[in-house]
Parts: sequence; C-alpha cells; structure tokens
Amino acid sequence: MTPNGGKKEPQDQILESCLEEILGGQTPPDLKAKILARQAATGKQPTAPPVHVSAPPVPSAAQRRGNRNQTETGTPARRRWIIATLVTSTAVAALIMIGFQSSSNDNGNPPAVAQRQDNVPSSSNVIDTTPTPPQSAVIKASNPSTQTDDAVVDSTRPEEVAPANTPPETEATEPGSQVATDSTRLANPQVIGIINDQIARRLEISKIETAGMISDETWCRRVFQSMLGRTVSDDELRQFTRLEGNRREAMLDLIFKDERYQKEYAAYWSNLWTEQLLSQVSDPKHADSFRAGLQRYLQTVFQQNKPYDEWTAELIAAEGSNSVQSNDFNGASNYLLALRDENGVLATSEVCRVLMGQRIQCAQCHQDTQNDRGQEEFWGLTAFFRDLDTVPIRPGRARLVDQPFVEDSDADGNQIRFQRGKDGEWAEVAPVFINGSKVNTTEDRTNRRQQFADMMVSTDEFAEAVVNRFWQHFLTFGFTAPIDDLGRHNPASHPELLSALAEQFRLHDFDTTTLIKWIVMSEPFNRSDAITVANGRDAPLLGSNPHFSRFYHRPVFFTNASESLAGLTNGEAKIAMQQVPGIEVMLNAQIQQLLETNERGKKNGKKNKVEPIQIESFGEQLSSGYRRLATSLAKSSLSPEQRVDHVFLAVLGRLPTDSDRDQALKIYQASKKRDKTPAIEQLIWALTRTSEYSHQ
Amino acid sequence: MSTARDVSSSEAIDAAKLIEDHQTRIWRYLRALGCDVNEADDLTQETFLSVIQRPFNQYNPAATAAYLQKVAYNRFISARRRSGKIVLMEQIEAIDQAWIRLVSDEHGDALIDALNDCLSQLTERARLALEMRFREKTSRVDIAKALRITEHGAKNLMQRAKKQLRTCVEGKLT
Repeated sequence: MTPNGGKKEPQDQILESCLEEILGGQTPPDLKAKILARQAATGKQPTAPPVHVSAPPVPSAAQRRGNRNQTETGTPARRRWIIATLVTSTAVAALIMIGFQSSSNDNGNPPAVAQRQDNVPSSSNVIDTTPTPPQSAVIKASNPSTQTDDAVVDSTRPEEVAPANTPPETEATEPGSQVATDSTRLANPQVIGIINDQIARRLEISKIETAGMISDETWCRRVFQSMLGRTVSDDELRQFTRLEGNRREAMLDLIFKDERYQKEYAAYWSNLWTEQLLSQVSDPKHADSFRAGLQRYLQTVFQQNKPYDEWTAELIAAEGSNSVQSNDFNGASNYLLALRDENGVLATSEVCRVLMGQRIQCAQCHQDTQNDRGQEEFWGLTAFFRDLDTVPIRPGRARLVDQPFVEDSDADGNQIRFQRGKDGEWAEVAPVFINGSKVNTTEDRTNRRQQFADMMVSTDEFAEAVVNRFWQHFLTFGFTAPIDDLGRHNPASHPELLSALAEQFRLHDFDTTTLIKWIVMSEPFNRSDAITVANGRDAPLLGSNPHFSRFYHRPVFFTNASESLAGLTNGEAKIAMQQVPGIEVMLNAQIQQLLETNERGKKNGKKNKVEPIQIESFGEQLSSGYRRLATSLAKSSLSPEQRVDHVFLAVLGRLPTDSDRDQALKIYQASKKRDKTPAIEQLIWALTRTSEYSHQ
Repeated sequence: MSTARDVSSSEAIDAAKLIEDHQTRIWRYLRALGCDVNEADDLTQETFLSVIQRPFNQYNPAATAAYLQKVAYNRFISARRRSGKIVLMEQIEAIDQAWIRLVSDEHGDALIDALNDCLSQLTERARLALEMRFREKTSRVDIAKALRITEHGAKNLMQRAKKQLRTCVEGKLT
C-alpha cells in the first residue's frame, strides 16, 4: 500500500507505486512459473476461442409475447439467479420482520426499528396489498454474514470481459439460488419491494441515512412534473386530496386512462422520446419534418400504450412513406428517414446508443479498447442498415425502401468492406449482431432490419437501457452515467436492481406504464430532497454513484418551465427566458462540471479549450424551442455574459462556472456578425453535445 | 471468406508467452490501483489464470493488454469487495484513466524510465526526502529532523517534489 494512504491525485498514487519500485526496490516479480504451476494443478488446458456458428432462429416479438407466460428459456442464467436471489432476500427480510415484530410484541417493547418521519406514508399508502419490508428488516437481511447476502454481493462482482462472447460463469448453481431458478413475473408490490430492498442495502453498506418521506401533495406535484411535464394546478391538487382509497394509485390511473390526461401524457412522452431518438440527424435541413412526423407517431404509441418492444421494433423495421397522403403512409418511417446516411453508420450507432445503451461509434475507425469492441463488430452491425434507401417524394417527405447495397461490398452485398484504422488494409465482414449472432445471408436481404429488431428486443441491454432511461427521468440520475453507455467498463450503481427491473419489465410485456408505476411508488421517488449531515455524502453531482438516499434536486428545464408557467397563467405567459425573473432560483445550481474538451482541441493537444466549430446552420439541428430561445436572446438587450448564463440555464439547468463562461464567450464572440442568433445557436448546439447534457 | 473474428488464432493460447509479455505491466497496474506487493502478486496470478482458462481472442498486443488490464481491474474490485473494504469507484476509475494516459508501452518501463529521469532533476534535499520516505520508510518526523526542518516543512517539501515529478513525467509521456 502506498505509504501516505488517504485520498490522492490519481497520478500521485501511480507515481508513488513507481517510487516504491525505483527507490524501495519493490520490483515486479516473475510469476510465470507460479501461474503455470497453478494452471497445471487445475487440470485445465488453455482454451481456444469458440468457432462462430449462426445464431438460432430468433422468435418474433409477437411469438415472444406469446411465450412470456410460459417457460422463459431465453433468460440468461445470471439474470435468473439475480431475480431468484432478490426474491429470496425479500422473502427472508419479510420473514425476519414477522419474527421480529412478534418477538418485540411478546416483550412488550417497541421494536428497535428506525422510525419513519411523521409525514412518511404508511406502506399501505405506497403499496396496495403487500407491504414492503421496512428498512430495518431489509438491513437485517443484508447482514454480510448471511449466505443470501454473500450471494448478492458476489453478484456485483464484475465479470471479466472476454473479446469473444463467453457465457457468464455458472452463478445459478451457487447457494441461495434454489428457491426460484426460473424468472417469475412478480406482482407490482413485489417489484416495488425489490427496489426498496436493493436501494436500502446499498445505503446500509455505505452507511448513508435516508431523507424523510414526502407528503401526498408533494408526491402529486412530483408526479405531474415528471409524467406530464408541468406543475399541478390547485384544482387538480384539491381533486387529488379528495380521491378515495389509495389516492396515489387512483391518480396514476387517472393519468393513464382518463381522456383529460391521456392526451397530455402522450404529448409529453412523445416529445421526450422524439428528442432522445433524434438528437442526431443526417439531414438537418428536413429534421423538423421528421421530428414532427415521429412525434405524431409516438403520440399514438403512448395513447394506445403500445408495448415498448413493439414500437421500437416498428421504428427499425419500418417501410413506407412519411407522407400522410401516400397509400403506404407509415409514421414510424420518420425515424430512419432522419438517420439514413450513405452507409448506415448513423442509424447503426444511434440505434445501438439510444435503444441498447451501447456506444459503438468509436469502433467505426479503430479498436475500441474501453468497450473491447473491434471494427468488425461495428461494420458487421452496419450491414443490417446498409440496404436502407429513400425515395424522395417532396422536401421533408420520402419513402423508406430497401435496395440491395453493392458499394463497398461483395457481389451479393453479403460482405461489407471496411478499412482497418486510418491507412490499414481492407477487411470484410458479414452482418453480425452485437452479441455475435450471424444472420443467414442466403435469405431475402430485405428482412435484415426486421432481423436486427427481433434480435435487439431479446437482449438484456435493450431492457436495461430503457429501464435506466426511465429511472433517470424520474430520479434525476440513472444507474449509470451517462445512461446510454452500459457495459462492464461503466458499472451500474445498483447492478442487481437494474437487472431485476429489466427482467420484470420484459416479463410485464414491456409495459411502460407499469414501469412508471414501480418507480413513482418506490421509496426513492418518495423521499424528500433534504440534504442532511447523514446523507450529505450521497452527492452524485460530485461524480460519485447515486445512492438515492434523497430525491435529488431536479433541474427545471426550459421546456418544462415554459409549460408550467404557461399553465399557471392560463396560457397567457409569453415565455422567453429573459422574461422569467429569478429563474436562477427556480433552476437548479448544479455542481460545476467542466465542459468536455472538444475533439479538435484534443487532437491539437490543447486542453480545456473550446474552439469555434465551423459548421453552418446549427439552428437547423436544434429543436424549435431552442431556436426560439436563441432568437429571443439575440433580440434582447442583455449583455453577452447574461446571454451565456441564460443559455446554460436553459440547456444544462445551471449557471456556468467562470471557466465555462470564458469558453462560451469565445464561441459567442467568434461570430463577427451583428445578428448573434447563429452564435447563440452554436453555443446551444455545443452544450447539447456535452456529456453533461446527455446525463440529464 | 473470413471475418476478422475468424482471423484471430484458433489455436490454444500460448500461456507462457502471454504471461511473459504482460505480467510486468499488469503487476505494476495493480500496484498503481493500490495493491501492496503480495496482493499484486496474487491478483496478477488470478488474472492470468482466469484469462488462459477461458475463450480468448488475441486481436493484437494492444487489445490483449487492454483486455488483461480490464480483467485485473475487475479482479481488484472483486477482491476489495470480498474483503469488505469500501471501494471508492470514482478514485479507482480515475487511477485507471490516468494509467491508460501515462502507460502505452508493453511493460510500463517508459513510465519508470521517465520517473527516474525526473528524479534526477529534483533538488538534492527533495530527492533525499523522497529516498528516506520510500527507500527507508522513514517517518515524516525523522525526515524533518534529518533535514533540520519542521514536520510541516518536510511534508511541503515532499508534496512539492511529487508535484514536480508529476509535471515532469506527464510532460515526457503525454
């Protein structure tokens, strides 16, 4: 161990280990003989990589749905084991609690359970029928000395990442997994119990206490803000307090089923998803048309509560025109129309990033050592989107078709050619899915996107990515940061919980309303946002993993603030950022984070400098709300500094640091034109490309 | 026609060569993460044992080194969790990233060489303080006595020396 101990600069710790080697004589040993001897003792021979075989036929979404209530043969052993462990631990916790209560009653003494605060709703208020075990029981069950917890702790053990697709080790055979080895569709209260249990475990391990619980009224305000993107009105709040029975359940039913809210709910979520799905577009000129078309399609999706796997598969496999006047109109086609480029690169990287939480774009040009991903994987994936082509109808309207792709491919179009590195040799790769599954290239090639969609919705990553996204939406932080970068290189803060929720989401037919219910009924969503001495260490804004000991201060973003203010003033408010006094108070002052150094700065070896990026028409890549903001700010009498501050508040929900402001002003002042709208658009564009923005 | 995956060796891994090529760097990496010498020995062995017993494609030396490093990282985290120690992931990740930035050669020798060079650029007193600290494990109080300065002065002297070393090494390697 380093002599000084304690927390150091990372480079210092590296240097100290080297100093111990140079000065202290602690040099690297030759361990070859020892390792080979131990290897020989195991009796196992070094293994060769597996020979690739084509993947077995993947059932369609409908087939899968039909099979869900039967045996879940496709469930990975790791996930089944985690679910089994969670169910077991929850059951053990409940049993302990029952025993605990009876023993304390016998003694006539109050149980030594951490009492909730006065305004804490009872379990029955949060969960309908099966109360969640109180934290004391959860904590008892999580005692490291118990076998169950050993198993859970072991499940967090990061697996070695083999370049080849190696199955996880046989955790299903570990002790404690015998109770339920198959995945079981759990009732909502049980799933909520798992959330509460898992969050409590981590809090106990980290010795962080939780904030108190919120009142029904605060919960209602939070739900409106998170689910409808606006503030609840006084009338609605009064109506909520008059609801009978479990008023929280009743309120959620109203939002999901009542016509008054259903449209609003669909509009809000379709807007959010459109922004997420089309944050990058290939054709900025017509991006607004595609966004509007996609939003209309998604609005129907959310109104009908279409299962998540179905509508995402529809987006990927879509054919037809985005013109309502065409016979083959298909609103889902807007998605790939907006992402279509010459060789399927943008569609591939965006689909993988947004829908599977996999950032694969680095592997386009070089071996991605962080993700352990080669160029073959990237180009093998693009092969699914290579046939994608468009037939223009009129500006902003086109037909999505599949044309056999021949450029940079073999004669049949079944092998895609790509260049290794910048000046490397050319190689060829067939369509290979992210998990190594190959497709039958002798089949009709127009099925490739459908094949991709079918394989995609079957992966763990697909369900985990959407759960992580929803969790982050409601609780400000996801299980990973950023949320669209899942993998062993970026461990989740609560891996077992993420995995369990993803599995339950799959077993509940990818019903997003159910997922929302679990989250908003869980304890993390119901905690107050009070920062105390006891939970002060839980500070994900400082870069540590979130523990969800409290509800994190939520930034109010421009779109939400606009909607809320418009609602409060009966639509009379003309929203422009400079007309909102004290917006700084409303908006969250997030902890300072350095803006990402842009790629050009890195290449030139100039660190922490944001150079103006010479790309024209930033405005066309921005949503209409941001464009209005830029125009409005440019026309205002505010100083450049104030304009920069407003842009930061609107985009990142915080004021810029001094360093941020300096860099932003450089972008702003690089434009010599009198009209500063493009400069502000450029700044907004730059901020929307930062990792901080995507964390939101 | 073959894919790049198929290009990789389909023969059994040459374990001896793999260990020879990469053990030094992995051991140093584990030391940098915070392992003491014995723990680094153990985890280096575990890393190679787990790798050579599982299917493993060797694309190129850099990819293999990165893969081994990732396995070592995971072994380190697991070991810490098993021992019940709190793992400050952010700190570990920061060290991991700093290591990736500083070490790009096969064994990590460039870092050691650079540090050796930089040590020679320190003042006599600063080098002496570090030598007492790292070679002889002298306490800070004794270092202060030997250099006829206060304990606080000894602390500052070593901190400044380390800062100078850090700047110097980064200048040479990045």
